Amino acid sequence: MAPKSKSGANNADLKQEEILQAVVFADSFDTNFTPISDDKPRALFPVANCALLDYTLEFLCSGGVQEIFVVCCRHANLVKEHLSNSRWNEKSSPCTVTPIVSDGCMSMGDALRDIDSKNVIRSDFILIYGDVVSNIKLQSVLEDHKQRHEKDKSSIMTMVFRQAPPGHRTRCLSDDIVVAVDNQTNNVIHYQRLSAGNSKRLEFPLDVITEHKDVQIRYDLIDANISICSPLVPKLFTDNFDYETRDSFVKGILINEEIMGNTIQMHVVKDAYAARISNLQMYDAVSQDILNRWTFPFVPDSCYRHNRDIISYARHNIYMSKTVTLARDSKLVENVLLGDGSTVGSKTVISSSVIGKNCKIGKNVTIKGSYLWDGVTVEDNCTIETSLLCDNATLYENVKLQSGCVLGSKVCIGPNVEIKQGSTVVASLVDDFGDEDDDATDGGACDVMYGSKAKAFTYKDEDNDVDEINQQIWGLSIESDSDDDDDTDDDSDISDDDAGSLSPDVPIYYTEMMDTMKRSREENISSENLILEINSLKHAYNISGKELPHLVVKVILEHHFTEYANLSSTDIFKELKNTFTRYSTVLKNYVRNDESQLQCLKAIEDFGYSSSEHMAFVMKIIHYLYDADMLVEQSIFKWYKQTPECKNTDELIEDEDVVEMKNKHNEIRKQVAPFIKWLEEADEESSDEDDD
Amino acid sequence: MPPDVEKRDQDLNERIVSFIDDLKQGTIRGSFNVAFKTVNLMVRIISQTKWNSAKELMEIVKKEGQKLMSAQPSESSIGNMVRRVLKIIREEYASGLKGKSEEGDPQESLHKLLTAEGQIDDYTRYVCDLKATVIEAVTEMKTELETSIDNIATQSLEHIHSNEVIMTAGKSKTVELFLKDAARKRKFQVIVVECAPFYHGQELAVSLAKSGVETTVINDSAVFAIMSRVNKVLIGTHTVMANGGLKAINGSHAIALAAKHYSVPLIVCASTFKLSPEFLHSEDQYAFNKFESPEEVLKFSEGKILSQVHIVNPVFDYVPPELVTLYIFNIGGTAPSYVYRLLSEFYHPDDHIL
Repeated sequence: MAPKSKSGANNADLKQEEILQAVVFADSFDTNFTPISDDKPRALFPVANCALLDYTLEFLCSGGVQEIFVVCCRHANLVKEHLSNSRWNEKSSPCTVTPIVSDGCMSMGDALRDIDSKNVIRSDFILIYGDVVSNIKLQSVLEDHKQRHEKDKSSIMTMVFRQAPPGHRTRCLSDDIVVAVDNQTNNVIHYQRLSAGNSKRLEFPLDVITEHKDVQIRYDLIDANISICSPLVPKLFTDNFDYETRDSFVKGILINEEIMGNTIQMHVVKDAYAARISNLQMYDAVSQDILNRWTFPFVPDSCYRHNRDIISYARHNIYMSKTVTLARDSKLVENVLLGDGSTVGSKTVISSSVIGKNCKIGKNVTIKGSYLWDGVTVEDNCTIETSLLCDNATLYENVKLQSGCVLGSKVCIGPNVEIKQGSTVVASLVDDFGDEDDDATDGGACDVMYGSKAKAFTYKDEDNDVDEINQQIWGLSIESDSDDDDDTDDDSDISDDDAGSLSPDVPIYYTEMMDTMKRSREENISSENLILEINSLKHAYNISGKELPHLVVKVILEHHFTEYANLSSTDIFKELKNTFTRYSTVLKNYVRNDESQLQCLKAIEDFGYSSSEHMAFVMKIIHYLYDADMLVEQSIFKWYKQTPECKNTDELIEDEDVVEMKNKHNEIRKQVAPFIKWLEEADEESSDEDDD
Repeated sequence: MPPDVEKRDQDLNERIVSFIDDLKQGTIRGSFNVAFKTVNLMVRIISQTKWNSAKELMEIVKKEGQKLMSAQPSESSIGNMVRRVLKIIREEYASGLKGKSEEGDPQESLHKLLTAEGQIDDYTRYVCDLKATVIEAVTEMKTELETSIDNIATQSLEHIHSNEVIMTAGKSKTVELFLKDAARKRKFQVIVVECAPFYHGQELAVSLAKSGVETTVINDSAVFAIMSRVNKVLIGTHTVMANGGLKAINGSHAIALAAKHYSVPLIVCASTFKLSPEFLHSEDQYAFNKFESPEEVLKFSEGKILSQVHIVNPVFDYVPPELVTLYIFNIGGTAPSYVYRLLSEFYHPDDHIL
């Protein structure tokens, strides 16, 4: 029969063509939405009454993606449930959507490593967050990527940007980026996320300008976090444990471009929409863009794949479900979406807002620029301005919400109160006392503020006040700019930059390794994992196996001495013993044969060069390592007899450095002499014994 | 057998759903393709689903038809095709039952039509070979559909004369073939209105110029100025409404008004599958118009201004029947006032509202 032959043909197609895959992160790994994302993952936030994740999947699907992996971390079961109840789970779905639960993942890097370990990526794939709304035609971008990849195997990633000049509504200050591109190759040569506030000055590594002839520095782009990656990308993430986010990955690739030869390309889309809902301000902007139909065909009335209700569209961007009940003298001004089963009372005015499903809005209510999720009840005479009301929130009579308010799910407020600008209100305080009963704290101080029938508490985030700031920005339009996306991220950026400006290759991985050590100490990482991390660094920075023992020993020593810098010398040495015992596995892993022992000794020597205090320790260290069976006599003798020349290949240039080096060399030999003497004696003794 | 039937059902369902998805995504271009695919699907539904009587079949077709129509409400050719199929089922049932056609012969007297109506309202009786005859008739309709554009094109010489100046707008496959067909015999000049913001007119102009027609592209605002020099306006349409009005590409209304002003005849080329029993009762009517992304009107990268303006990008225009001089259907030329008669020929009155 015809259908059979067709499916057969399809299978043949599948075998010939590569299946296009995509990895979607249904977790944002940040806390920009904290109070509301506590019980609902961001990917499931309703945006224009449709789960955010569905926009992303729909976008991928229309781009011809056949296999989608949704990585769920927090609230994994909710995401899974959503997927299994959605159209994506049905047979007719044009692509397979597989949820991958990776619970422990704290960052995108972890999740990608998890993906890599599962070995599911077979070809080029699209890497995207589950909070992207876009209608970019992926086919052309993919073709470009494939062409480039065929020509040049080293191009491992294409980043997709949307053009939007500064001051654009959909630009978000916390996501501001500056990108430098090589015009000839279209390679990204510098990628920098600007932290708002100090954006007046920009720093570029000098080689952006010096090493490329034709450079374009662009500040007119929105990074939608859509990237097309080669299968190499997850492997790189596995090899490099310090790649946490895409930013750090990009940075890492760019810094090591010369060593590894991997490049990143950019693709700027001019005639399609793409934005990532990374915070409340973006939630607002993207929702308005959807209502203004920029995301066509992904608009509420075009009842795309997952949307089962029929929504009509009328002038002034009024979208209405068929089951909406409107009072005769209610007024929908413009850009309004009313979900299924909602009712609007008389003399109520709504503008630029999204009303969810089964919302009840009373008489004489004014709603402006606000987002009401499903099941919200607003009683008579309320005023809501630029606020977000989560599922099943209730406003009793005469409540006034000033701009920038966020009400968590099931919050009840009122009657007769006014909530001030930028308040964040939650229904229960669970953070502080575990699972505390709501009733227990009812009648507390909050009630006065939130009205007599209230079930609401002011949300306080003790760790940082990022969220508060975000919401203020949202309420007060885009004028104020005091927002740090991610402190740790910024820090790492800075250190990376510093390392980059030191120019030669060694210091970069040297500092990287230093950081690794520091982290291992702080986070109590087991030695095995530390070895793994060091190995991955080795691969990332192309360190030769010979150099590695040298480096490891040096780093351990240096780290130790910087850590205990303020202790007296005897204490330092005591601690040193501890340090060595702690790292013994690591050391033994690297210091194994004669060659590596020599390297190790050289490292100790180098360490001794660095200051006279350290010089004093050299003998003790060697002695200790000898006792610990990490060094054998032969290598120590060999090292002792070595002349500095054999290290210094440039024998011809007898400049000051070399002279100084010689001096130091001799000094160290002098320092170690007693130990050598003792060793020799011991050796003779033992050989005597042997002779006997 | 049962697993086989199940599999068949599943296959059919998958086909329907994937067609719905295509409709929703708007990946099927042109109303002809939509109509053609709908008919194909209808054939499958008739042959693959289980039914015992014409009534059951009609219910199945109606149900699936509703699903398809709600997927892309502005695409009226889906509904038209569903109605045609329903009408065919009725006819075949009647002829199978009585051995005579229920179809009212246009020559029949009004009195006969009146008395013939209402004779059949019981569609539950068994008619032998109903499936085969229905499928045969639907396939026939499919052939008619396939040849409709050519049928229209063959009439071109009756309407286009030598050295005429013809104005057209946007890009209609039917009009394109019509003009090309005429160009084989006659020499004439075509003025193409580019139809911003989609600029399909430019595509048409390129295609016409390639086949040797003397072509000029003008922008939308020049229509009135040029109209006085035009002998005929020839446009395509998306839908022919029940009152003889048009749902055509944005800008058609302005052209039609200008034509009226200069008393230039406005000729509309349309296949009969575009004939819809729907009326326009309000500009805000559900599913009448389609609004696309404002991107084509104002670039998203324009920046600040976006938050201060409201951009509307409609696809269709309504042209009232008074402005249309003549329809060229694949079954011949028709005046707008005669459209109602065609409707009753193609669709059963009970099916007007599905």
